[in-house]
Amino acid sequence: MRLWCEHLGSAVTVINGDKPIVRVPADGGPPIVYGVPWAGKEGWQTNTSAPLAGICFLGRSRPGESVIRRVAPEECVDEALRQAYLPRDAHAAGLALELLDGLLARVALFRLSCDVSEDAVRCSFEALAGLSYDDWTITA
Amino acid sequence: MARIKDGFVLREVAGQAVVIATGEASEGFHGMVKLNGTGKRIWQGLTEGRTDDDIARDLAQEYGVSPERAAADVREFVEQVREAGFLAS
Repeated sequence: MRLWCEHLGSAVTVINGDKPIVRVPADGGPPIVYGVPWAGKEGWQTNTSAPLAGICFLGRSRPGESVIRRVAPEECVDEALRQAYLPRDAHAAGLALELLDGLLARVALFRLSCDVSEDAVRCSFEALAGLSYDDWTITA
Repeated sequence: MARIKDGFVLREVAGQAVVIATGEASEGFHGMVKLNGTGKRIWQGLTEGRTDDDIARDLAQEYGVSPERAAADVREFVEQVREAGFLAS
């Protein structure tokens, strides 16, 4: 996120830097991500919402070897579960798992191995936004 | 008769049978278990309080395996979940 802000500037809005709320509509519509006040140590949060276009799981790569690939839902169950808040109540936890199942089926999923450079921004931007990084310009 | 402790939750996530612990059960187990098709059926039977014999009989029918093989699978699974601390005492 820090790199995206650094290289993409005002085009980036961090809705939440820790754990946003994600709503998975019962009517099968696109999931929506919402800002919340609990934002982690950097305090990155914005009181706004947006359709959730994709989820990207992050890992580290060696320098010069940033790569991103699309993954299938079954490839990221473990990681998604680790990132999800699961209630202590059994019934609520069951509902949360059902929501997670619905979420993974409805959004594009990616895995980024990142070397913490502008190259990582380039490859993630191009895969997630579907735009050419070099041709894209920030509009006010 | 073996029975799974209260607080364990089984759901399908992205086509995988996933078990997590909630409430008191989460004090003894952190994390997640993934079950294959047979494991899921046995787990469900244990949650419902069915006998090992009944579970084995249904398994044999559903998977077309011998009753002896199904009974052995159930015994092995029950032993694994007992060792993991998932069974009610």
